[in-house]
Amino acid sequence: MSGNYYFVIVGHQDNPVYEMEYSPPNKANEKRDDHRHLNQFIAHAALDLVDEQMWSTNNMYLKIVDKFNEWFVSAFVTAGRMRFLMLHEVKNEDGIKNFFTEMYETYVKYAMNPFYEINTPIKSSLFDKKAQFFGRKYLTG
Amino acid sequence: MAAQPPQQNAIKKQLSDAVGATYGHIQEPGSGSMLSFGSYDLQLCSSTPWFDNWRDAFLHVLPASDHEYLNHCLACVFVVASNNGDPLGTFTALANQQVTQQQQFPNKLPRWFCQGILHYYVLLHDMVDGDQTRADSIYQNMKSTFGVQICHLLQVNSRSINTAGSIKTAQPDPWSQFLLKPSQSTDEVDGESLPITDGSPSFPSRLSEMTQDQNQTTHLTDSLYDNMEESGSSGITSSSSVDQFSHPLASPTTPPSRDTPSPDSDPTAAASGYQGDYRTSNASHYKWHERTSKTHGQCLTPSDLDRLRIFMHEFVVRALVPWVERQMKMLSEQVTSRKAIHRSFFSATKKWFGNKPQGPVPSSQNTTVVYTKDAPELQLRRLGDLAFLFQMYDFAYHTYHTAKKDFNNDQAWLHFAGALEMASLSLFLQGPNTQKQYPHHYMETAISTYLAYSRNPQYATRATLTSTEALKKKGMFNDAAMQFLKMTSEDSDLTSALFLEQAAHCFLALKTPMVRKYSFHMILAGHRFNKAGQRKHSLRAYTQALQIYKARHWSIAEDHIHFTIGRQSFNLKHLEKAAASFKHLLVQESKQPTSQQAAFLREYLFVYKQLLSQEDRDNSTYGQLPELPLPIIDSNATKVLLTSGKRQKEPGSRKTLASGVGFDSHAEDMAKWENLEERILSVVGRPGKSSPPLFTNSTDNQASPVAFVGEAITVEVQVENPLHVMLVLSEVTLLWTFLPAIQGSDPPQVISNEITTNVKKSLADEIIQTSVVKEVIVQGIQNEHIQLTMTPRQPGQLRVVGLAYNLGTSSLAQNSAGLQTDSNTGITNQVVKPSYTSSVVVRGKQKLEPRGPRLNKTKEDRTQKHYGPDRRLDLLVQEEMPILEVSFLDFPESLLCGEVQCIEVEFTNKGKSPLHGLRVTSSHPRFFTFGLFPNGTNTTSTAPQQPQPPTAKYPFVYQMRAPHCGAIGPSLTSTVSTSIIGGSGYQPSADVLNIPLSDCQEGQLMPGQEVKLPMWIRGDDIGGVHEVDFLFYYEPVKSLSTVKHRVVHHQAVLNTVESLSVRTTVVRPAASNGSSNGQELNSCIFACELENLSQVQVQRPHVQELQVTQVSCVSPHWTLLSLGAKNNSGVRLGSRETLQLVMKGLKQDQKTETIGNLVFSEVAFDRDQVNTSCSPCSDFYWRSWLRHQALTGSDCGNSDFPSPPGFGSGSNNPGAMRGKSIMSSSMISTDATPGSGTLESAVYLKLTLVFLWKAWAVQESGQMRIVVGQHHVHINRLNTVAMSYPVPASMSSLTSSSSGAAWAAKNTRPALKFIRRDSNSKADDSFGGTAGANSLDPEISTKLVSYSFSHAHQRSHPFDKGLCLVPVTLTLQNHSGKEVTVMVDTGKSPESFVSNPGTVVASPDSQSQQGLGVTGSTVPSMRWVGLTQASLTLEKGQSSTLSLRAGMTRPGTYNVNCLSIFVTFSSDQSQMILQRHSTPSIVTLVDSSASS
Repeated sequence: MSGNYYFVIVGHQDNPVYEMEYSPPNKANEKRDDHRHLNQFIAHAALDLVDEQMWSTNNMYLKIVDKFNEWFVSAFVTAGRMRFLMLHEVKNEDGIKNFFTEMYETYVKYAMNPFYEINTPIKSSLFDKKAQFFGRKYLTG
Repeated sequence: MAAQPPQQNAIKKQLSDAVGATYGHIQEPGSGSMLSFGSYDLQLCSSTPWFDNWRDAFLHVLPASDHEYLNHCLACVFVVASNNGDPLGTFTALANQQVTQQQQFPNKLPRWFCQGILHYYVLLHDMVDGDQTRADSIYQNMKSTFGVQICHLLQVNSRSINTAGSIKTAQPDPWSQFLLKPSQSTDEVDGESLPITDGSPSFPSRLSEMTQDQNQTTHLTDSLYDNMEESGSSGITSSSSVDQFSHPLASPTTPPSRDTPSPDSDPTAAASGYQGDYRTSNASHYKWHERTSKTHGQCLTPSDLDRLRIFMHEFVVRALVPWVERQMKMLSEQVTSRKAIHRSFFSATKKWFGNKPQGPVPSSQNTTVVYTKDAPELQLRRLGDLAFLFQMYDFAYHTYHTAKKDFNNDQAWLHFAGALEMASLSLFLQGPNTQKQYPHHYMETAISTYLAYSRNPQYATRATLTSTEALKKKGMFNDAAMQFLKMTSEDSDLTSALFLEQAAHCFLALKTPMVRKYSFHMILAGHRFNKAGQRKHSLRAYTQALQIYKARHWSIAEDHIHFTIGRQSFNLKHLEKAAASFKHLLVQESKQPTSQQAAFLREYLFVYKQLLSQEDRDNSTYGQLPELPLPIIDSNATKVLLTSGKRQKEPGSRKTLASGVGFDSHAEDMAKWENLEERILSVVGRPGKSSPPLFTNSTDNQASPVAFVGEAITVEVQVENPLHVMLVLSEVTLLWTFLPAIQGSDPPQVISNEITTNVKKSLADEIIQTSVVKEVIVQGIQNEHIQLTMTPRQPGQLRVVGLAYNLGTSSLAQNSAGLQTDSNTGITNQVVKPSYTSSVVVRGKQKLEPRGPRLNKTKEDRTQKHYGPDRRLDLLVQEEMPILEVSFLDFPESLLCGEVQCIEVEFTNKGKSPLHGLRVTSSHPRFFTFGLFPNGTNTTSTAPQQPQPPTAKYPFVYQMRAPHCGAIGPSLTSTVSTSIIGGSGYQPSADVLNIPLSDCQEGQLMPGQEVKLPMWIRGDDIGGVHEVDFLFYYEPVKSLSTVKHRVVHHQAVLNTVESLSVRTTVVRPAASNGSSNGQELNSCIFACELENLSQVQVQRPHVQELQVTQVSCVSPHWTLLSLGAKNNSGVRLGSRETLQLVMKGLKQDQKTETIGNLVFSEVAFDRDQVNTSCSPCSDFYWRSWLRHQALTGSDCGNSDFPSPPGFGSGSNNPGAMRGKSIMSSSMISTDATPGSGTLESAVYLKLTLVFLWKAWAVQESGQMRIVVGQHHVHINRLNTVAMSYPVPASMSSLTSSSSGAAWAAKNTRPALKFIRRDSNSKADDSFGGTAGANSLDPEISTKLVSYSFSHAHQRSHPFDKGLCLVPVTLTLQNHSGKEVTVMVDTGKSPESFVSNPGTVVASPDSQSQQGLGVTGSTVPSMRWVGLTQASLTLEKGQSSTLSLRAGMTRPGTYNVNCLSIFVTFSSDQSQMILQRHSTPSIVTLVDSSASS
């Protein structure tokens, strides 16, 4: 269950709305910074495949859509076509699926805030906390 | 013959050059087309010529291998010139040489296809020089010697070189399409880097064309087989020039021969032997052409060209093709015969042992199978290759297919992979004719086999190249991309980069283009290009990818791209682009860690500095500063201050300058100042406001601020550092443009200080003196305010346009700190230059453009975003004005409450013109006074000859009485009463004071003149910190500008410490017997409770001992008497001590009272007596009283200073209207409304007690200081508690006695009373005005008339003689201001009404005072005798007496106060109000009869 994770919610203009990185508790931020742009690059590139695959299934969870070197990209597309992407080094299908589902719920609640404009970056400590919590619960923990 | 495969490094360099060379011609801006993919717009170059170049180069340097024969030579053409001495011998020698080479050095280049290759002999004959007949005969010999088929006589150069020059216009260069253009060839490719390709058009079009082509080469792989082709068809040397046999590939020094004989554009021409033709002539005429300015083939006539074609055709058709046919036949015979044996043999063994798995067996070891040269498997391969070369693709495919199986069986992996590759290729080349599916899995297997088993990445690369082209042609772009990606490895950065780029392009070519994949792979490609040292390509790739990532908020990714672009641009010396890219990194909201940001910033500064120095050299932006991205300047937060800014008191100096207005002033502050200014203006009677001193975002900036020549303008700029890194700004200065206001015909010229030359700079500084801030450090994620001043020297229009500064970082600042401090103050070039070289700082600017408020007037304004103008930075500089500077000497920081100090105020005119009309107002008018003058005359500004009042210091704060202290008053009451005549010089509106410029000429303060005035200040009654605002107002004597007056602001912060508290209750004295003429009825008792509130505290100021030195009473009517003995030692109070002081007040004879005069009566407890009626005591009394009025009158303590109504009329002319009329009117009018007031005056006292005290105060430092002060107690009515602490009316008007419960109850608002109006009550009695008795407050109505009894206190009476009659004189005193009718009823004692409260108006709490001695008796033993009821009328203030007799039947002690007195003040007699009088009046009767 260890391994690093990078979670991003991508908006309709291919803009990241929310980003979060998870690393296993035992090995904290080592060589983190070198990888950060790579995470974004991989996630962004995977959008092509997400857009392609989202029409081929009824499921919101698309499983692993892309792979680059040691990174897998799992995806989840909401009803509003917000794309949740997860970069991960180890396969963890159920955990990621659960994580996506929980985050989807969190996101929907957040998006119902009338003061939140869709496709704008999410800046909420509560959202952060939830994301951290689910990350620990399903991904790194 | 020394041809060796090129060295590894050389190959690398060739490939790298091939890629690098192509860059410059392609990447022009706008060269690509704009394409839209979904929401992405992409500018794209569809072709990648660097890739094509690289591919060609790669195929050229690909070493030949034994496993295939495509690169091997099929034929060798020997050429001998006709003028050779022994042509036939030479031919033979050459042929032998070839054979020797093939046999002895099989591994040397060129490689030959098989034993016994085709030899072709060509006799070259020059038509001009040579001998025709000899050539013919030699040719005949040749034919007989070698055979007709393989000999040829080629006649060329029918035209001499001389004639050729004359007609060269007619003929195009026949070699032009094979030779490099001189411009290209000289470019940079050194002679060794061979194969600049033919100028073939782009690939795909050729592909379709060539499939039906009759040419012998395949186009798809044309470069690939160039070597083969070349060596096959042109193993040619000119025997005439070179004896030694040499191959083109082995002779790198002959550039023309490097040309690849690529297929002709015209297929038929190729068949006619064009290629060989050209090569021969080329070889022989090389030297000529070199001489003749690089025009080739000029000696050839059209017939010569025809002969060349014929030669080629002959060669191919008569010699090559038959030879190949023979060869194929032979090979296929060999193969079929061998195969039969081989097959049966091997398949049998296979069956027997049966352990051979099918398909390519993965085995780790390399192939161990080594075939002999003529092994049947190789023969099969040869056959396939030959068929392939001659476009028998179907046959080739089958052959390859068979060979593939064999090789697989033998686990000859290299051969296997080669066969697979060729099989799929030949199938592909069959085009749409074939039924078979294109077997791309063959190719994939080939690639992986090359890689895995034979460790031959180069062949894998070649296979990938061909395979991807095939896949692309088939539209299988995804597979092509995947194949490209598969070949990206760590081994070769250049290959990986190119392949990644190709893959990226494949992603774009998909049916649904994968733009994001494209961009990602372009990034990867760029990365690898960078590693491979191809900076231009790296930059190009990153730039391409940026189009996708731009403005999508993938900030870290974008940062990476920008950073790389910046780096590469910098390396390529595209400084401008580099700077722009680095700028991006800094401007955007960054998620980078601190260290990264610091690195970005350093890079940016470094690059930018280089850019600047480069531009400096170019002189392109002379005099203009570049705009910097950092720090972020919030233009709208800019503040403009027109005064010199807030000044702090310098420690150690006595002087405190007027503080002025600072940048930290808020809108409320400004409103406060504005109010004060309006107050002055209303007094002065001048409309218009002065320009506000501070312009911020919240002020109205529609109009330009007005500044004056010689006065500093301070601009505060807010800069924000978005990074986590510290920024250092140095040499910060304002940039401005100035339009001088010069009268004249010439249009004035705009002057700016945004110039770098010295002369102009100093000139600009002469016009506007601009300050320079040495260094400002902006910490990460911080705002910093930079204050910069300018002092204009000329009138005109000044516009602040921006901010100029040097931008640097922290580490660098330290390095350069020493240097910068050394440099002098100017920001001239000399100063900037050294810092340029010594540290990385760049000088730049940023604009300041504040935006006005958003407009909201029209519909357009509302729907769109329109902003109003903001002119706070467009200053209007006007002519000089006088400048008043106000300073205070020894302004205290803390005072005791009520403490009075005398300080000095200094007014200086710093300007160049006189000023006058000096006035001051304050938010706390009672805080200070300039005092009255001893003669008491008006202190107007027009009284110039006033003597300067003594600037008294303690103990002369107060003015003393004449030193009569020794002559103590004769009586107990050491009272000195001073009647102050009206006109005491009180200013009408005490909140605006004229400042007497007494010793100035005509009240004008001349330039440079300095006037000192004493000023008394008194600590506020309320302890705590007070902000006292002073606004000084003055007018220029002659004003050129529109501004008619100016102001000076001062805000003093003062801490007051609690000192004395006084509570005073005033009661009417009890009816006392024996006093003469009823005077006691006109007196009252002041019961004062003094308390020293100060507590002894260490390290804090406090009062150790407090001495009340004097009590004064100020009132129109009342004078103060002391009840106690004169005590010179004073009334002393230690800390937290309370002391009761009782004094007596006496009402003046009303007849003698002059309306409006105030009487100051003083009771001194000290040797010295203060003249209370003088300044400053009276001033402070007056101010305190006004405040008291304001507090009680307006019922709410909020408005500090409403003008009393009486002042309204007189306030316009301060000089004339003052004095008693005003005083009296105010006294009365503010009391209450007339009417009821006359009644209420019965309980109203309207007096003020002034307590003067002296205190031994301990300072913070522990020093003792004697201070003096005064407290005021304003007593309005009887029986109330008045306090020195100012409290609003709702609290101070509490009546009733001093019971604590009452206090608590009255703290709440008085309950609403609903009173039913009687229908028969007077109609004209307005409810709120002169109310009837019903509505009158019982507190008042029961005290309208007081009375006292005078009688003998003790009396002996023989009761046996009967009733004792005591004569009692009842004195009645009307306290109200109205005539009242009094009814005295002796029949009813007040308590008889108790049982009937309906008729008793008074509250029932009156004590039931009966005869004290009568206990247990229900029958009252005292009766009034005689007159039982009397009615009399008392005028206002009148007193009257009644003689009564009381009869007592028994001895005892009696209270004679048992009669009822009713008062009515209206004609309605039924409205009788019982008066309350509680004090018993005792008479003791002794029975004298007992003794007798």
